[in-house]
Parts: sequence; structure tokens; C-alpha cells
Amino acid sequence: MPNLNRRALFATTGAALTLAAAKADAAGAAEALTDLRGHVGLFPRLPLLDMESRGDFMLGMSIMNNGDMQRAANARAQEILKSHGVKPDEKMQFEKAIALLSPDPVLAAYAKSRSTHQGIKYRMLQTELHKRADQYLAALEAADKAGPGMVEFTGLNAPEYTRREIHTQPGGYVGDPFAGYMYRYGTDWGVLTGRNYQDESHKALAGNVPVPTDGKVKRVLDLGTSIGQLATSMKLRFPDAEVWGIDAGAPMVRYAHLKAVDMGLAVNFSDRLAEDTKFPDNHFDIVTANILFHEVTAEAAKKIVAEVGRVLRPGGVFYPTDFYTNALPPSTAWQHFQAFWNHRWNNEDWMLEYATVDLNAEMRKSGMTISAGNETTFALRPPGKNVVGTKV
Amino acid sequence: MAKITVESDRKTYTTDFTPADTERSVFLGNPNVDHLFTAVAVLGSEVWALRRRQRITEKLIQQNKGAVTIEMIEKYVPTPEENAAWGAERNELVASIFQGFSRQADIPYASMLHPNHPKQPG
Repeated sequence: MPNLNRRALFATTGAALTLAAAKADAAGAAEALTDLRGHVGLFPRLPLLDMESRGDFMLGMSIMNNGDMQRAANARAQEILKSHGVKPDEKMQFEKAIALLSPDPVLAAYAKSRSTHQGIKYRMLQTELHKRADQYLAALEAADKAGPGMVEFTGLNAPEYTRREIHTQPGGYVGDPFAGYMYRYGTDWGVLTGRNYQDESHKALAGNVPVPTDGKVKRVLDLGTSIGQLATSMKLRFPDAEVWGIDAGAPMVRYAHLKAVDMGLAVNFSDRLAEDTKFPDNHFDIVTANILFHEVTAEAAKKIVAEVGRVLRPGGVFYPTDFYTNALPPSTAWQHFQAFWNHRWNNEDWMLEYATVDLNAEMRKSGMTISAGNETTFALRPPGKNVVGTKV
Repeated sequence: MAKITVESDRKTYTTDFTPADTERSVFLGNPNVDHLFTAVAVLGSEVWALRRRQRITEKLIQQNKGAVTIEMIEKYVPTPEENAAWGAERNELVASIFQGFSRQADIPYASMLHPNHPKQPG
């Protein structure tokens, strides 16, 4: 794979645009600035200042939703529960909790604000990206041929369960060619509340991944790699290792590769299923899966863990991180309310199914011993020690 | 199933998908109230975009004694200090727009009793 400089390739488009901008009127010049706004560290700036600023407002909404508004909603929920004689940590049946809390105006406004935030930001991103579709596709095409590392499109016929509009992202991970772009900006203005512009969260997570006791890390696999932020972070931690990132979404691994090329990191990406990776037996020293399991059916989750047991070498380590890894699934009214919003109104179709899977038991079944790892503070997981599987 | 089309002949590597129905959700009792909430949020983002552009323009005018181009405004990278200050300003704007939605409000306008007044009407 030739090591072409993607930014230099795309700068050709940029030069043409500069010329066009010089000839255009003032409004046209601003519009023609696509990709000329450069990067801030790893972060590619959006093509227009106003687009960036609207996104910045969405970040502010996310900070409010996850801060003051969530605290107010939680306080209101506790008032309602108290008036019904329910203690804050008391277990409650799911349907009863939803029926009790959902109609309240403060709780409904909290749910509405979260949904509105998701809807506006993704609509804005999709609209603006599609206005420049050919330019962005040209950038992706140039990156496809660039290195280091490579991207492989297997022509995967993705199962229907993967073809959903996950967290209301338009087209999900498979249906929009700019899924990777939308994910990158959308998650940082959203759930990661501005804390991942430079992959900070993923780098911290990679730093927490335990090393096999013999210290050998030659090959690493990241399942459900999305836009490859953990895969590239693993490459930074283990520069001599062969690192792969796979995902059911071809547009996602396409963007992951573009991003890795920008970073100058030799990571390989492929559109493959986590439950059918096509890699040989006993092949990997470390397998990671960050926020994958809540996006798959219970049946797929079990197959994925079995597949990990197959591709890990003896002594190899599995490090899955997700909402409930080594943590209890929702049981109180407030936890049910939060999980329900994610499931129903954030279109996390498999979230409730995921809560029924005993991941640790599946890991044992697939030939792993279970232990507790380092403290993990990844945004979506409660603080505490995450689970580690070691293949016997 | 739904399919997204693109105005380009280039390869997209996409497939069809099951669309979400979440845009049809009603949280606030009346779909039009929900739409108003969304409209306020969109307008808020436009206000912030204008205010941020104004901050940048003012900074560049001061810095360059008035010689400012659109390209300079578009490409301006805020300093860490500006990011912090403008972030705080943005959060204040967001809070001022939405603060009412976090408050419990359950005393109707027609309520005759004032809890802090010794003499009740009638």
C-alpha cells in the first residue's frame, strides 16, 4: 500500500476551491471554504464557521442535558417516588417505573431536550455534509487508496439487526456514506460532551486495557470499531503490534481508515461481523469491544463472545466495555427511566436485550477466566473496575 | 426499509436500513408544544452562531485595525482562553433559554390562596 499523503491529495481540491473562492462573491467564498478550515490537532474543522458554531451550541445543550437538567429530573423523580413510598435505591418493575415517571412535565422535558438535541445535530450534519457530497466522497476515495494501513470492503451483507438508525443517527452505521463524519461530530457534541476531540477518552481507555501476563502483544483486534478511535489508540499504545478494527458498517470503517491515515497510523480496517470475524483460531493477543454489546441482539452477543474465545490465543485478553460490563443492569425506577429513553427514544433497539445477557457467564462458557481490571471511567460506563476475560 | 441517495456518482458502500420513528415522538402532551421546543433550540443555535461570529469579527477588527476578510473570520481558531470564556458564555445562554423546563410548576393561575399572606381572600 503506497503511503500517500491524504491531506496533500485533498489539498488539490482545496486549491481549486481557493481559486473559485477568489472569483466568487462574498457569500460564495464562504461556502467554498470546504476543508480549508484545517484541523485542530486531530480534529478536522467543519467546512463553515456557522456549522461549527451550531454544533457548539449543541455541545452546550448536551452539557445542560447531562448536568443541570438531569439533576433536576432526578430530583423530581425522587420526589415522585417518595410520594409513592418508594426509596431511591428500591428495585421496581420496568413498566411500573416508566408509567410512574414518564408523564411528569419535568421528566418529560428532560427526555424531550435529549431527543431534540440528537435530532437537530444529526439533521444539521446530514444536510450540510450532503450539500458537499461529492467533495467528501472524493476525500474518502483518496483515503481508500492511501496508507499507512488499509481498508477492506468485503461486500458484507449486514444482518438486519445492524441496519438500524442507532442513537437516531440518520441511516445508522450502514445507510449514509457520511456515517463516520456524523458519528465523530455527533458524539463529541453529545454523549462525550466535548471530551474526545483528540480521542482523549479512547486513549485513556486503551491505557486501561490489561496486557497478557507473558507481556506479548503482537496482534490486537477491536470489535465494533466504529470510527476506529480505540483501534488507533491501541496502535499508539502498542506501536509494533498489528492492529485491526472491524465493524458491520462499511461507511464507518471507511471513515476510520481516513482518520487513521490522517494520524499516520498503520491500522487495518474491514467491514466484518464481530460474530464472524474470518480470522484464524488463536490469532490475537488482545481483543477489545467498546460500547458494542448494547448495539447487538442477545443472540449476536453470545455468538460474539464465542467468536472472541475462538480468535484469542491462550493467555490472550478480552476487554469489553459497555454500559453494564461488570456492573448491574438497571433495577431502580430512575435507572429504568434512563434506559427506557435510550432504548425507545434514542433508538437503541437492543439496549434492553443487552441488559438481559450475562456477559461474564458467556465469557466463561467460551473458555475465559474472569477477573476485575483497572478502574475505568469511560463516559458510558459507571466508574469502577471493568471485567477482563483471559483465555485459558 | 429506507435508502439514502447521494448527489454523486462515486461509490458510497451503503445499504438500506430500518428507519427510526423517533421524530414522531410527543413528550410534552401536544405535538405543537414539542415542535415549539425544537424551534427554540434551533433558534438558540442560530443566535449562538451569530454571536460567535460577532466575537470573532470584533477580535479580528481590533487585532488588524479593521482589515478583515471573510476568509479570516471563517478560518479563525479561538485561543484556549477564548474557548473557555466563550464556552461559559454559551452555557449561560443555553441555561437562560431552557431553565424553565427544569422547574416544577404546578400552581394554576386561578389559584386564590397566597401561602405567605396572612389574610386569605373572602
